[in-house]
Amino acid sequence: MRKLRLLLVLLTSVALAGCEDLPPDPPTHVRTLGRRGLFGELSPDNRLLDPLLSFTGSGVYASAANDFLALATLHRRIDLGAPTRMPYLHVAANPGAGSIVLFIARSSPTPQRVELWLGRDGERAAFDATSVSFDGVFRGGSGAEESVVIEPVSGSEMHLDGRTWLRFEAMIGEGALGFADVSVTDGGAEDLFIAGVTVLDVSGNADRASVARHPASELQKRLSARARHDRQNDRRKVR
Amino acid sequence: MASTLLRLSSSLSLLCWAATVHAGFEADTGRVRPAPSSIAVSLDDVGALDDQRLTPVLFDAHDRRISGDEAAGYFAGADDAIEGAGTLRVGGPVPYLYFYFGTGLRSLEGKRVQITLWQHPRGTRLVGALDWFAGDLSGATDLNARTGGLVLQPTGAVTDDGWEEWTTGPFDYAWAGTLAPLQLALRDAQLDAVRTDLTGGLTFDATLRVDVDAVELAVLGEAAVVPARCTALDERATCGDAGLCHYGICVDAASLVGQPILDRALRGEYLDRRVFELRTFEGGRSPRSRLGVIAGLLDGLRSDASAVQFWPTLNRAFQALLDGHASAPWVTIAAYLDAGVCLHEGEADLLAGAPVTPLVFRVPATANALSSQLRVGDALVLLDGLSVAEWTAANPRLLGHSGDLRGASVVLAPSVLAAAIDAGAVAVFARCPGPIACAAGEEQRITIDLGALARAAFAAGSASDMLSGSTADCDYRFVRPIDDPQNTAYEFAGHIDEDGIRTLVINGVPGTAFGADAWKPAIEAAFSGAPPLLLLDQRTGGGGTYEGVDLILGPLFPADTTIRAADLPPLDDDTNAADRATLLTCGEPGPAAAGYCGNTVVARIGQSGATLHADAANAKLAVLDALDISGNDFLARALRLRTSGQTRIFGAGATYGAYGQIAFLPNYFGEFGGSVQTEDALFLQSADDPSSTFETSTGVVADDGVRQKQSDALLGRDTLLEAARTWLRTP
Repeated sequence: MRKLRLLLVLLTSVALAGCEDLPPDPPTHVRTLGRRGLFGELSPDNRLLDPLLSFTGSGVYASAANDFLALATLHRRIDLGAPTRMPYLHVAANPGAGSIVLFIARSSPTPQRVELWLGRDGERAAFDATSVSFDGVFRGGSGAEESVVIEPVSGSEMHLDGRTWLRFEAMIGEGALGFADVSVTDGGAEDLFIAGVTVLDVSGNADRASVARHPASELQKRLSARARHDRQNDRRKVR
Repeated sequence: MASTLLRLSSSLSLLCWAATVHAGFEADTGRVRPAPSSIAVSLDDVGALDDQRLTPVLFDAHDRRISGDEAAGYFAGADDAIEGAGTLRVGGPVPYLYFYFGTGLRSLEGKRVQITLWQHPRGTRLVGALDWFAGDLSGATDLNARTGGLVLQPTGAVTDDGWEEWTTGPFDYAWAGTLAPLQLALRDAQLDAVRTDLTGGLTFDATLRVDVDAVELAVLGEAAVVPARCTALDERATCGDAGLCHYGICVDAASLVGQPILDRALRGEYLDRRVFELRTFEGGRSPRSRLGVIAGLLDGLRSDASAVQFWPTLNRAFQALLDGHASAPWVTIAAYLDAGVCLHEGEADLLAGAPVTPLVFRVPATANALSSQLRVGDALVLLDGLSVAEWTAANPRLLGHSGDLRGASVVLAPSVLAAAIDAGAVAVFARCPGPIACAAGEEQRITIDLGALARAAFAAGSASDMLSGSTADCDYRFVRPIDDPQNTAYEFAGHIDEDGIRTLVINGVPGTAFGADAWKPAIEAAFSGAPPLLLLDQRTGGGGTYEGVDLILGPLFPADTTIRAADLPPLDDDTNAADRATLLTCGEPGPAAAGYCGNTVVARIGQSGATLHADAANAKLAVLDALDISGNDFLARALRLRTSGQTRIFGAGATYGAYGQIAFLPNYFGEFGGSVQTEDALFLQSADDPSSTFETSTGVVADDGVRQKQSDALLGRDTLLEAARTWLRTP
């Protein structure tokens, strides 16, 4: 019995000595280890030029919604706060002026799906002041820039960390010729968050009737022309 | 039995993955415990800043070092630390976190090591690289002293609450066995976002943070590369599978050309995306025809994770597109040293056989260890015993060209010396005493061990002084026609009248962009008075804008010209006449913006409303070409369509053949660069011209294979200028 007590004392001593260097108790939830690819659950075949919205390439442009020469304020967030659990954009509210953000994609006159998530802080956030479209030149169209409206998906609402997210999606029977834009125009009084912007090829025939087109707005055209000008005049091209 | 073995080997590989990628993560606690044998920085509290081995240092946005109580505020005793009792929380006002390698780690020289850390993005993330700098560390920010670098990369390991593991991957601690890394320099990833003047880009958000924890330097064993003497020609045999030759000595390839993406799955995704980008965004039709071959080149990298192969092969693949606007992403850059000596391709007519080879055009005003041995007119005849052409062909890692290969030797000549210094080659220059061909025994040979020079400079801590490339002010002109301190600047334009010839010098075609306010007035002044004999010197032609091209073309074509260049994006079917017509009609210039038009641009000569439109339409025009890309490509190509006056192009190579717009590719984990051309051009006589000949990859070849002669160089004469002037004066 003495031997057993001695052993216990020794073990306790060792344990106590070790405790000085031990970390605090682990949190109630024991974190688990997993894997994440470079694009998370997003497809690497996204036709967007800058699919992770990194602004390290030539792929995303923005301005105030009422004046394409005025800048919009955009930040990039990297955390798990978006439904995609990948980086997303934070567009600061621009009261009275609004903001427009263009995501450049290389399209093709084949069936394509355009998709993104929009978020706002709060449990009852509204997206009435936000419009999403896919703008390009289409076969059989007017020959000028036209827009396909991307609609919110009913029942897709998701709440994450006090923020409401809503998925927007359109299946397009024939994408645009050459390059096109996914554009998000927002006139809301609250900040807007944009995640998971994707333009993907889909197999089979998408329902073209669901995606009526209308002429692109003058502002969209001017901003896209400005964005192109910006890209052409990127100083890096000559060095 | 066979199936048992298979199961065993599968289990083993899983175990190995677990052991090497995120050693120390304990599933039962959900925490990381550094290996006892490793050097760990726990970042629990401000005391971590006193670590003398791997010393963390915080900097604010103005490079001010944060210390003491101020620094203590950035340590968070977070309950959710992944190791120890706290984390370091940076970002926002403190966007830089450096780890300096202390002298206490000297025992690691000769060892192979690996650094891992965990970060928890709370709005932003850290990216960064390990840096080796030689010599005087006060010049640590001077790239001329940088001998290597290694970008941090994700391992793919993440936790469900947001921690991510990042690593340097295995590397030899000391460059060439002797030079320890200076720092692991991490920065808020927001700093990498490109800002533009017109459409803003990202705004830095000072409220975003990232937690860092569990920084660990593990010793893996002995260094992989023995620092033996080598040349670029024998590096595979001398330096082994992990080494490359740098300044004549074997070094770890990872520090020289970058660590490959080590995790096989991430590597596969990365390559998939890069191949997808080329298939989707590349607009050059000839480059598109090579995509299958290029994808095949990249496929080989999926299973080969060697530093020797990964980034150099990616670079070669992008070059193989023959898209002058294309460039591969990269992860590290070592010093570019050319000692301020300007070499350009010439004809060494004073030497036996008159070889075509780089000649010394300029040496720096202040002599250095290399330039003091050279004179203007010296010919570089041998590198490691090979002709320059042979040596270049043997070293695609060091010298490559993404444009029309007929222009490669002209374009690359100024980079040959830097490549030879980088490899540590032995160079032989040849010299004759006067401007007449060497008689027997007169030829003087100057042999220079470039590797020994570079190593000595680094050892003396004087690389910046002795081998600085930053002061090299080279262009492709032996004589600069206009004496102006700005005459090599991209934004420069100017003209001079001599003996009835007006010479216009440009280094690009910025138009009114890039802040080149004086460029347009300078061009208009050059065309004033309708000069009958005109010499356009665009031997350094860095491209620019459609407007800039048109401001020069407009005066040179008749007012009623209908010639235009049409830049079309990639289409699934270029033979679809309706698609083509739709985009060309949409892209026509006009007052009403039709929009993006699929990124179609129709550039009609004279559309920019040049006030001097057609003033020089009948001028006799001589053009001097050498390095001409993008806008200067367009210029040379459109001048081929000129019929109202005689036009002749002088030079010895070909322009790049890059007719289109450029798109910069995004970076996915902290690497840099990457670009492709997104359109290809048709040169059309009119709106109805049915031509379907896209021209990217095919540059404009000069009419005369004229090169600078060595004999002229010794007389201070510019061979091309003289040839052009002689032609202009000939009735």
